[in-house]
Amino acid sequence: MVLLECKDLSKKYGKKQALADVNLEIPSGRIVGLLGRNGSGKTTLIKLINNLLTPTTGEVLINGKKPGVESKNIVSYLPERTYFSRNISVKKTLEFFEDFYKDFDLKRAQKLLKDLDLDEDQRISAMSKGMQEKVQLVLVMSRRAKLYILDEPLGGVDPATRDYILDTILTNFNEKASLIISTHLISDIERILDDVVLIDKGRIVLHEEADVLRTKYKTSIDAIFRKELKNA
Amino acid sequence: MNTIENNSPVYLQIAEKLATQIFGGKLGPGAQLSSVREIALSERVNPNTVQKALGELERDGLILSRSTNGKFVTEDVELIMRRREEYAERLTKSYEKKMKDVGAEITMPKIMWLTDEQLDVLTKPEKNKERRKWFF
Amino acid sequence: MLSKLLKYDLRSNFKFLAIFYVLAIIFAIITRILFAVNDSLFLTILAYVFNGATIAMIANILINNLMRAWVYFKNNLYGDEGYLMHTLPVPRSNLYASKFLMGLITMVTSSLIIIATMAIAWLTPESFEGLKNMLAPMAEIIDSTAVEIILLTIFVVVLEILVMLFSGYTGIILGHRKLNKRTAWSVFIGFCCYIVIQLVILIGMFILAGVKPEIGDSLFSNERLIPDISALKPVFVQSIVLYFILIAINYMLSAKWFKRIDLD
Repeated sequence: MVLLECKDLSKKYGKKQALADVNLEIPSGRIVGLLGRNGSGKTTLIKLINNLLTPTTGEVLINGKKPGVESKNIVSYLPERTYFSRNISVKKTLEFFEDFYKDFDLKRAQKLLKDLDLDEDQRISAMSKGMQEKVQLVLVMSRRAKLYILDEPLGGVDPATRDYILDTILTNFNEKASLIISTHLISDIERILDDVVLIDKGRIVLHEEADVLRTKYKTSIDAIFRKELKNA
Repeated sequence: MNTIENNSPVYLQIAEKLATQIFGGKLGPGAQLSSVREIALSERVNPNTVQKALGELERDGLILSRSTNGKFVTEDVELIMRRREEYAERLTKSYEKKMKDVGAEITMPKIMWLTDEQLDVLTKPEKNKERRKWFF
Repeated sequence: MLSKLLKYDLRSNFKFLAIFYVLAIIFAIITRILFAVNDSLFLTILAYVFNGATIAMIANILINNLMRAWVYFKNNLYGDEGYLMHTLPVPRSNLYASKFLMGLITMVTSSLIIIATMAIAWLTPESFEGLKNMLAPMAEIIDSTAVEIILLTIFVVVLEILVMLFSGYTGIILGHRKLNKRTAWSVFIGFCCYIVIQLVILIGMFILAGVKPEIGDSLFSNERLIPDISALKPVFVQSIVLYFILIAINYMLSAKWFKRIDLD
C-alpha cells in the first residue's frame, strides 16, 4: 500500500527552483533515508509533505488524500526547529500533545523522558538546545502514527543519545508504519534504512533499496552518497 | 564477526551472523530463534532487514518457520554440516584470495572440525566452569 | 478542536495581560485613596503621580493588547511555533478563527478592565453628574440618555480598535505570502487594510448623507460649530452596522488568504 505519494511536485521561491518535478512513492512498512546536502531540497520536500508550504505545481497525497486534518492525524513530524513557546514546562507539552493527538501515548512519552533523564517539571527555556530536541523527538515518537517524518533528528545530539534515539525509533516503530528520516549524517543511520532517496539541487537523483545499492556498488551508502554528489 | 558494517549488504551480514551461530552450536538444531524485533534491536538494524536475512537462511534450509511459533533452526543435522562445510570453504577461499593479493601463496588447509564436546567448552565456558565446581 | 485552540491562545495572552490588568486596578485604587485622603502636599503630589500612572496603565493595556495579539499571531502561526500549529490535526480555518476570537475576547476584556479602572479611579457621584450634565443637552436633542451616548461611544471605540487589530492580522497573512521583507510588508499591508476600511466607513457616511441631508449637513457642513446634533444617533448606529459588516468581510477574506501559507 502506498502511504505517501508525490506527483510532479515542484516548489519555486520567486525564480529559485527549490524542488523540481519530484515523483516519489513510499509504501508502508519502510524506513527511508532522505539524503542530500544542505540546501538540496530535503527540508522543502518535507515541508511540502507536511502542508507547511504550498506547492507551485503538483501534489502530495498521504494515504491517497491531500494534506489536511486526516493526513495530520496519521503523520508525526519532527521539524528541525524547536517549536514550543519557551516559557512552558515539559509537562505542559505532553498535555498539549494529548489534547490534540488521539494517537499520543502518554505512558510511552513519560518512560522515554525518564530514560533520557529529562525532567517533566523543567521549563523549555531552561533547557539546552539538545535537550529541547530530545523532548520533541520523544513527543513525536510517542505517537502511534502511520508515517513518521524526522527532519535531521541527529543534528545536535551526542553519540550516546544518538544510539538511544535509533533504538527508540526501532523499538517504537510498528511494521505497518513508515519512517522518513532526513540527514546528512548518513553513516550513523544507514544500517537501519530500507530505502535511500538521494536528493540534489531539488531533484531526486536516486531512489533504491539500501542493500541493493551496497550490492551494486560494493560499498557503504555514505561512500555512494559522496561519490554520486561529486559526479553530479 | 561482531559488528555490522556499512559497506556490504546488511541483510547478508545478519544472515551470516546467524548462520555462524548455528554452525558454532550456539543455536543448536531445533532451537528457537529470537523474534525479528529482538534481533533488529540487538543488532540495531531495521526489522525488514532481519526479515530478509531470515528469508535468506530459510532458502538455505537452515531455519524453518512454524506458522505461529516463530522460526526454528532445522533439525536436519546433516544439512547443517553440509552448509557449514560450504561456508568454511568460502571463508578459506576468501582468505586464500586475500593472501594472494599480498603476494602469498598458501595451500588449502585441512579443516579439522571440533567435536561437540570441544565446542561445548568453547561456546559455553561459564556452564563448564559451573560443572567443574560441582565436581570438586 | 476550536475550543482547545482557543483555550491555549487565551491562556497565553491573558497570562501576559494579567499583570497590566492588576497594575491598572491597583494604581486606580491608590489614586482614589490618595485623592480621598489628600491632607498634605506630599500626598497630593503622590496622588497626581498615581493618577498619571493609572492613565499610563490604561494606554499600556490597549497598546500591549494590540501588539501582543499581532506578535502572537505572527510567532504562533508564521514563526517556529507555526511548525507545531500547522501540523496539528485541525482545519486551518480553525487556526484563524481561534486567533480572531482570541483578539475579540482579549480586547473586550481589556476594555471592561479599562472602564473598571476609570470608574475606580475617578467615578464619584459628582463626576458622574458632571459628565451627565455635560452630555444632557445632546442627549435631549437626540432623544436619548447620557448613559446611552457614553455606551455608544465606547462601543464605537472598541469596534475601531478591533478593526485595527484584524487589519493587522490581514497584513501579517498577506505580508507572509511575500518572499522577503515579510515584516515590513505585513506592517504596510496591515496599514493599507486599515485605511481601506476607514475609507469605506467614510464613504458609507457620504452615502447616508446623500440619503438624509440633515446628517450630511451636520457632518460635512462648514458650520461645524453648530451641527445638528439630532443626526448623531443614526450616524452611530449606521457606523456600528458598517463596522460589523466590514469586520465580517475582513474575516472571510483573511481566512481565505490564510489557506495558502509558506513558512520560513
